[in-house]
Amino acid sequence: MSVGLLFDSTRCIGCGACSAACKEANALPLPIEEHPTAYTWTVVERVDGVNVRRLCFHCAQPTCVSVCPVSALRKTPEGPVVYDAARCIGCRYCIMACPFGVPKYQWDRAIPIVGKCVLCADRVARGLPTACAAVCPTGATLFGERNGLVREARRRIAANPDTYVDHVYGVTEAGGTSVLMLSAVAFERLGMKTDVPRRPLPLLTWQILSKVPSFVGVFGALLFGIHWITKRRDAVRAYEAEHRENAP
Amino acid sequence: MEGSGLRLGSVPGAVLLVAVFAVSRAATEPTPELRLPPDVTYNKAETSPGPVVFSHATHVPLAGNKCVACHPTSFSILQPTSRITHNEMQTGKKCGTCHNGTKASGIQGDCAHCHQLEGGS
Repeated sequence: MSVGLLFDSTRCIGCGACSAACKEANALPLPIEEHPTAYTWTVVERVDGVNVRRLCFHCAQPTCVSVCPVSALRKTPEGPVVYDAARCIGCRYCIMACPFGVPKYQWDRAIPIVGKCVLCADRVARGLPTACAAVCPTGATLFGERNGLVREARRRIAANPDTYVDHVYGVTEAGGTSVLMLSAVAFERLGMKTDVPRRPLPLLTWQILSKVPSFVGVFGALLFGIHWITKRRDAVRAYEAEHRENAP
Repeated sequence: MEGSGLRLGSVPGAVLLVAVFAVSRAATEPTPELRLPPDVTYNKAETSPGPVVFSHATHVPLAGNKCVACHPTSFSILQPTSRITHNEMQTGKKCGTCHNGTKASGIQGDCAHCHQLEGGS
């Protein structure tokens, strides 16, 4: 079973309970900053009169996980994309790779690590909802099984087609994400990326990288073949030359 | 002729349609209701004149519906505080963050403002 969150921006009043609970659940230092940082993993931003949460989308096939050279980032079967600071070498490839610009770096530390929402993986493992969903007083952030959340999102759009934009953000974005969003205004107006590929981004590199072993094999065999033929031709030539000299 | 007649006739109809649409739209728009935590009762300490009941319902609107006015700076949002002392409040902690006599009523004098006094209301 894979879990996720459904954030309905039409229900968010911007009270900030999610940010407060996130700070506590993940033992992050105060204050709650205006925009996400390595120390503030989720915030409610007011854009165009709409309250919109910023947090990691937890892609089904995360680019950050695919590019991490030391597997410090990992997609768990339950849904969360988790981070192991002990493995991290600080290359910040994940920061460059994320299509949503989520992972942040502790630029103010001598020995920095990356900070990002981990979908309260430890709480989820204990069967609890994420801290943000647990405290949300309006139900704007809903925790549950992802497929169920997709159905609920579509049900809300169907029930109020005049209210919602006919799109559940996160169903197809970057090949699908664990965090889904609903909005009454166009998503690009909320500062959300609408031009992200609809296919999982790691596929881009996989198309090339998956062919490397066979390419090396075939090309290696070909070169060896050419080498063998050339070498034999030289040997035959040398042998013939030697015999021609000795023959007469 | 026919066209103008149609247009004249449709004006009140259009107005009605717009009105009905506006009403139905207002009715279907989800109006978020606050599901606030229940009242918190702080049991009476030995020297206390009575238990204190904290109400989210009265405090949240005063804080402009901002949970971050108190959480997590003054109060944990995940683990409710079970005990609050006057000493803490006097140093500007817990309730004392606001109840300091300037932002909100102070903690000296009127005990009944917070404590439920025995035998009285």
